Amino acid sequence: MKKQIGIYSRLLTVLALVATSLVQAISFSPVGASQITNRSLQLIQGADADNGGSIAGAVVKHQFTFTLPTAGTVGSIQFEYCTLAAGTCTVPTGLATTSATLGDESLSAVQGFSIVNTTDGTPYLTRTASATSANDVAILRLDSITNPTDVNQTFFVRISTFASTDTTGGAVDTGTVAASTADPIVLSGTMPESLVFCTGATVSTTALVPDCATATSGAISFNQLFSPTDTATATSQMAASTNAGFGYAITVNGPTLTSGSNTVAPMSTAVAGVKGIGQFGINLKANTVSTSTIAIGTEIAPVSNGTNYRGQALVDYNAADTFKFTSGDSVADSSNGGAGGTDAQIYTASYIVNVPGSQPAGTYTTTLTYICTPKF
Amino acid sequence: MLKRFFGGIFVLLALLMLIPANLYAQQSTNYVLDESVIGSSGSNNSSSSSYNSSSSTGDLSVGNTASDNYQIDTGSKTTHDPTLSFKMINNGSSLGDLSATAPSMTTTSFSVLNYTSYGYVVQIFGPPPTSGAATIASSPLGSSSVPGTDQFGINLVANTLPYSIGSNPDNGQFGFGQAASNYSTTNQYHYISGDTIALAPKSSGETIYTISYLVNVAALKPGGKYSTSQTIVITGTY
Repeated sequence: MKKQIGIYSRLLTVLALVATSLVQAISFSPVGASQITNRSLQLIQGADADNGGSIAGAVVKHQFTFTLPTAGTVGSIQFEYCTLAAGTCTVPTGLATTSATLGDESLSAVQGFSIVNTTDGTPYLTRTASATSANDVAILRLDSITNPTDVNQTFFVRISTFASTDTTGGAVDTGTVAASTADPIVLSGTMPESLVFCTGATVSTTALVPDCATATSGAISFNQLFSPTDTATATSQMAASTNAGFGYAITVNGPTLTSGSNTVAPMSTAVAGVKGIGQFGINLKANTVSTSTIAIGTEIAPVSNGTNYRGQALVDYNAADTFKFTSGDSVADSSNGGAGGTDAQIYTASYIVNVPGSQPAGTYTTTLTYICTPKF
Repeated sequence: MLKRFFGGIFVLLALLMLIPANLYAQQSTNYVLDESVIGSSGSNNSSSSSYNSSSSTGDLSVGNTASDNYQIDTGSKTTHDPTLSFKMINNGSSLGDLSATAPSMTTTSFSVLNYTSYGYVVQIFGPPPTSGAATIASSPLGSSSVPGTDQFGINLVANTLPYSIGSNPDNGQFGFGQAASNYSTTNQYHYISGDTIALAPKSSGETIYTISYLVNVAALKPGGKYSTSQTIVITGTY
C-alpha cells in the first residue's frame, strides 16, 4: 500500500511538472494559416477634419497595409475588430463599421473588392476569387469607420484572407494589427488685447519708434493773435497702436473756441481757410503756405503701408489745406490696407483760426478730447 | 511515509509554480524593477479596471537583438500577437499670456509601448493655434526662437533656449523610441501637421516622449485666446 502511494505521489509530481512546462510552451495559433507580414493599420482623418484619425469616436479612415506571404487564391478579406489580439473577440466599445465603405485600393496588388459591412465589427471585402502571388502587398482603406469611443484605447484588428468570397472555410493567411485611440492635446494661450494711445503738444520717437512716454503737455497756444487778415495756426500730436483685429478709430470731441459767450464759428464742412470770416477747423495733413504764412502740419509717420502701419486720416480731415471741425467726428482709423492692428504712428493735428473784424476781443480756449476706440 | 511527505511537498511546489504573483512597483532608492513577477511563468496584458501590466521572470537574458534583416526578442515566452499601448500623460497645456517680447513655452507628454513589432511611427495632426480668423504661423524647419515674429513649433528633445524645457525621449530599460529628425535638434522648433515626430525602428518597450511647444507672436497679433487641439497617431508595423 505504501509503495502504491509513493508511486502515485511521484506520478503526480511528474504530471505537475509536465503541466507546468506545457503551460509555458504551448501557444495557440490558427491551424494551417500563414502569417501575414509587414502589416499595419494607419488611422487617417476624415474628409473634413484635421484630427489625424485617432480621435475616440470620430468617423475616420482605416488603412490596412500588409504582405500576403504565399501565392494562393483570395476571394475575401475579413477585418475583425477586437479588444484583444487573440482569444474571444469582443468588439471595442463604440466602434461602428456598418457604414464603412471601401475607400481606396488603387495602390494595392490585390484589387477588385467590394465591401460587406452588415456585421458590426467584422466588415469584409469580397471579390471574385482570384489568384495572388507570394509577397503581394495589399493596401486597402476602409472609410467611414467610427473609432472606439474610449480614449487612449488600444484595439486590434485580426486580418484573415479566405479563398471563398464570403469568409467561409478556413482562413488562408492571418495576422493581427494594433492601433490606439488618443486623447487630443489641447493647447491654449492668450494674446492680451493692447492699445497704446497718447496725445500732447508733441510725441517723439525712441529708436525710431513712436513713444508715448515722450508726449508733452497738451496745452498749446496759437502762433499769433487772432486777426481778420491772417490765419492763426497751432498743432498737436497723437500716437496710436493696437493689436485689435479690426483696428481702431479716433474721434475728436469738444466745443469750438470760446471766450465767455463768444465763439469762433466751427467749420461744419470741409473747406479751405478764408481770412476775415469766423473759422475753426482741423485736419491731419501736411498743409501748404496757401493756408498760412508758415506751412503747418505733417503727414502721418511712419507712412502707412497697409500691413503693419495702417493709420490714416479720414475723409474731411485728410486733404491738405482743407479743414473741418464737428465734435464727435471720426478723424482717423487704422484701415489702410484693411482694418486691422497697427504699429504705432504719429498723427499731427493742424488747427486754424480765422476771425472776422467784429470778433469780440478775449482769450478763446477749448478743450478737445481725442478718443481712440479699438475693435477686437 | 517520508517519501509521501516529500512527494506532497513537490506537488505543492509544482502547483505553486503555475501561479504567477505580480508585484507592484518594486523599487527603493537604489533600484527599480519595471516589469516584475515571481513565479514560473509570465503574463501578458494582465489588467483590471485599475491597472494593466505585462510581466515575466526567470530569464537569463532579456531584450531585443536586431539587424537590418532580423530581430530577436529574448525572454520568457510571450504571445506573438501585437502589443500596443499609448497613453497621454499630460494632454492639457496652457501657454499663458503670449507676448511679442518673450517666448511662451509649455510641454505635454505621452508614452508608447509596442512589443512584437517592427517598430512604429508617431505622427501629430492639428492646426497651429488660432483665435477666430487669426492664426499663429508654423515655424519653418530649423527655426530657433525669435520673439516678435509668428512662430509655432515643437520638438521632442531637451532644450536650453529660449528656456530650459523639455526632455529627450525616456526609453527606460527596454525602449527604442527616438525623436524624428526634424524634431530632434535642441533649441530648434518646427511644425507641420501630419509630420512624423517620433519613431522606433524595432520592437520597443515603453518610451516616454515630451513635446516642447514654442510660441512667439508678432506685436500686432490680434488679441484673444489662441487654442488648438492636436492628435497623436501611432502606426505600428507587425
